[in-house]
Amino acid sequence: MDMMAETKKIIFEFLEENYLVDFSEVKTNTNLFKEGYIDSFGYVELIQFLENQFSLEIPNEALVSGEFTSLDKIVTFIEKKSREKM
Amino acid sequence: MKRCNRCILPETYPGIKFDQKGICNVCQRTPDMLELTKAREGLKEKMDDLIIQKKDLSKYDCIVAYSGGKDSTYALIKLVKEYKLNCLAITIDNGFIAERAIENCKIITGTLGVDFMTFAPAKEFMFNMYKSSVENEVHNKPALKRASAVCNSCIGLINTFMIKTALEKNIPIIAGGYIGGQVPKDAAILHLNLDFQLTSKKQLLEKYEAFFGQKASHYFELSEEEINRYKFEELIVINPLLAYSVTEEEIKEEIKEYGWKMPENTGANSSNCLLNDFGIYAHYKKYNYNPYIAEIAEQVRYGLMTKETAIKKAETIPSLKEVSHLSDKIGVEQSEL
Repeated sequence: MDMMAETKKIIFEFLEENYLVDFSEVKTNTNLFKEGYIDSFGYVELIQFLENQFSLEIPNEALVSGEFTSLDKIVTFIEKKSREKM
Repeated sequence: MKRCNRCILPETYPGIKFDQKGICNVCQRTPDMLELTKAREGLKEKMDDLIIQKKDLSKYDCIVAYSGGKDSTYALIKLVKEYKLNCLAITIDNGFIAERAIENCKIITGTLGVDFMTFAPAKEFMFNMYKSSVENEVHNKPALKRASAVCNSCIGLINTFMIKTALEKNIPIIAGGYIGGQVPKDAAILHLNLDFQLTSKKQLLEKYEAFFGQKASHYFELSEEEINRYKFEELIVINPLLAYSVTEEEIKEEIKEYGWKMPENTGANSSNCLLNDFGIYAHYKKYNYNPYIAEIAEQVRYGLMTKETAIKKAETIPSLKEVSHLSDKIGVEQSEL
């Protein structure tokens, strides 16, 4: 499995398990905050998970930029940050 | 009922899976007790450093969401006696605070010498909010993993009030009495992003107005003006209990020294609120798990509660007879339950 697919799988499973997102009904570009899957505490959990899982530090400005609102956007962000680290 | 062999989360807990050893997926993501304790010590150090940075910047160092219950009492005592913070304690009277809990608030704040305020939102609004929370799908399923629907609504109102008051009075830190399982571990220290708060509260407000009425904006809205007037770059939220390894019994022993007494009528999972048992009953009836189970399981993972005690607590569900007077008070028909 390539890196992007692996990243997507990890985040997909986290969202499914923690926020009870059913991706057979929810699109990967659905805004999970707007649709009520993730609240402000859920957001804390998500950021912590991403930082730990991918050994990244997520800057404050990224938190309000809308980059973590959907599975697709989260994967794109993580991939970008991971490449910058290399 | 199948339960996790490590933390006792039940098979009815949303999203739970068990491996071949009967260990749940939450535990599989959680380090062992030794690692958890080390992490907790790390959080304490971070909190210590942060508090030093934020001290003496304003009239009050810290605003404390003080329910009169055991956990927020312990948090308040630590903040005043150990960290020497000048605290403003605020109690939100949700319409169901036990008399003894109110007495505890007065005694503890008096003993500690801290300024103390009470805010009592209109009972008509509160009762309607509780009723609507039980009768409708107001909160998302992940939020309901942490607390019952009535508690989620009440907590949301309290959190907004605390943020608004901190902004109004230019207080750099908000402190709560949450423990592990009620909030994420990293909510020990939260650098609150106020722009994100503004956006997320706007989104929620539409929903709350639909369920609770137009007056929801009095209690759940944050404005740009409030944020712009705030003199600090950021607002910090701390939950000190997430940085202490202390059992329930140890907490009670310590706070008794300051005059705290346990109310008699707040049920097995609360030390301040009379509505709590109703929230548990309604939640269990609908979802078949105790809304406190995440908190209880987390205490077990940290070695702060035995599995036997945890199971007993988890399985203590009030009966309809025990909560019917509460459902009558807030206008929920028993047939709805």
